[in-house]
Amino acid sequence: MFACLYAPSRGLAFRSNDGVPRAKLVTNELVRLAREQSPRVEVHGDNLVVLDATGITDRVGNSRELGATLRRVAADRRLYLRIAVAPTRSAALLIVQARSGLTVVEPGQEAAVLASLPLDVLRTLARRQARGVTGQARRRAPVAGAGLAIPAFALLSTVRRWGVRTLGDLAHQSSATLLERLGPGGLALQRFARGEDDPSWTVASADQRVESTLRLETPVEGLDPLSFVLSRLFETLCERLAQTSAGASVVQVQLKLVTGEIHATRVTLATPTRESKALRTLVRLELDLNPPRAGVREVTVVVDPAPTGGRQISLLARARPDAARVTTLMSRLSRLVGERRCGSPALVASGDGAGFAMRAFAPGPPHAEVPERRTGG
Amino acid sequence: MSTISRRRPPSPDRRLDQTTSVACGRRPCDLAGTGHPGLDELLGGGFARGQLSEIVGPCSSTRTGVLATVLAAATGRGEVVALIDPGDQFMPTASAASGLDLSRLLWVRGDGGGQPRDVSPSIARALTALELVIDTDEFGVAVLDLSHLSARQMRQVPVTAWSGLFRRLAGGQTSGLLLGPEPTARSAEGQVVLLRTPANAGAGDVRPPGAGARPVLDSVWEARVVPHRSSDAFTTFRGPRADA
Repeated sequence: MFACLYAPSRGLAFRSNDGVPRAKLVTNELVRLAREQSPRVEVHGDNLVVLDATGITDRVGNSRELGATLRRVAADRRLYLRIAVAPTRSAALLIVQARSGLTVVEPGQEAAVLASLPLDVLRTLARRQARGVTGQARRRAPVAGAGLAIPAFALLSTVRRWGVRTLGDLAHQSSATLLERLGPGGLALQRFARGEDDPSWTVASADQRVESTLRLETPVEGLDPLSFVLSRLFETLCERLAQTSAGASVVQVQLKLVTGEIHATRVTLATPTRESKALRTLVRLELDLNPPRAGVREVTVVVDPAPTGGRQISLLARARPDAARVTTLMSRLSRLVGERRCGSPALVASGDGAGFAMRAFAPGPPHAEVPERRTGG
Repeated sequence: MSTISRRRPPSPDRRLDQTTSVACGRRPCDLAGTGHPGLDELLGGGFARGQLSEIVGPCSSTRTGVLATVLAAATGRGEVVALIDPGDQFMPTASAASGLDLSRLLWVRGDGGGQPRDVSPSIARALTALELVIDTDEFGVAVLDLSHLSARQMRQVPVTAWSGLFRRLAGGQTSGLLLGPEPTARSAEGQVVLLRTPANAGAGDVRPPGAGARPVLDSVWEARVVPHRSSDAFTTFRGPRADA
């Protein structure tokens, strides 16, 4: 269960008496309010906050009770808020863009509630997030949960030309058609319109972020020496992650160049890991594709932590593939043959019965075990 | 004055050379069952892990069907499998119908698009992808499907490419499989399954005396297994379609 708190931007462009932007004050107030209910809070830009209440319903009550509590506390603090409580984060984020007051969505009803919303809410949300991320980065303040597939929203204009006007129209499009015409981004867009969360999303609390910066005495030229610097940073970060039994779900590397520019790289992992070697390799592969244009003077690595799943240890079941190795392999293969040319095929409904879509390779636990191999004749 | 030898004693499992190792004495866990009882019997239990085996034959000789059965058996055991498909010929729908768990399949697709005159870049990319897959040692079966190439094109692949694959596979749990029109890799320990269509049966079929055919079930497709390169004795078998 997720609750989204949004303060409409009336008057937020002004500054308070002590010179602090009012938007920042309101965002801090929203974070404070959300943390009173749940420790897992995400800031999605200025005046937009999501709290994850999964697993703590015995404390915060059901969705209606949580919504009523949030509305009452906000009124006590003289905050005019839009509040949406929904089973998924996507649904909460979208509904709060379009509905004023308090909206509570019961489990299983998110697609029906979203169906009537105009397509513009997707664009509005993407712009708000992009603006929020940029603003926060400028102030060097942590931003959590900026993991929405914003590039996919560039496809909205194409979808609009097809005559799609509401989220319901988009949700009812054929997945095979969207994949064929728009690629994986089309499917991501449709999943969002249906109110389904991306399984790779993880809640990253702002105050739990792990960050490390290394200022170099001599600017580093080339990726090989930079890899050594990254190794050192990742080893330190992974030790800190291990203390909290967490792994990295998102890694952001900011390279301050001698020209004064900031070269940013972001890697999202399918499964959280704290293996420094794997993380360094993934970042190195990204930097191979987009190398910095000048010497590097300062390296900053920011890691969004997420709980790591324990390794499956069973005498009877086969061990699952190592997540770090698989992630590294997929990154290398994507670089070799292209991101859309490797993955797992998944059957989708189509007219000729031969439709399939490429999905990310993420093998789960085996469904059933069969007896051991044959011994031969 | 006594001489102290610094030479370490040879390890009992040391292998001098790939060509001198013998495929006998394998444990069952060293084999990847094919899921086809007849073929398993021919292979002595399945394809060897840590080796490169081949499934070869002309077009329409059910190479793809046999491959689907092998992959389905592996995913049924809970393993993950990889298919490097530079010709982009794999059909997920048909394979899923034969029991393949698609969620446990890593499919690396090539460009497809017919047969360009120069296939070297495509093959080089596919070999690199296979090496990356093998290096993880997380896959039960890793397949390189070069069945879209002609025998002449296959012979253009340098021998060093295959020997590099042997070295990467050795000692691992992955069973390497190569699909093609004719035996190419010349793996010492890996097995070669020769397939052909029934229409060609009898024409040019060389059988050593005394090694009569052992009919398995039906005469839809035929398989002949060459278990070892140094072995001259081979037998022709007949069996049902693996994808039937």
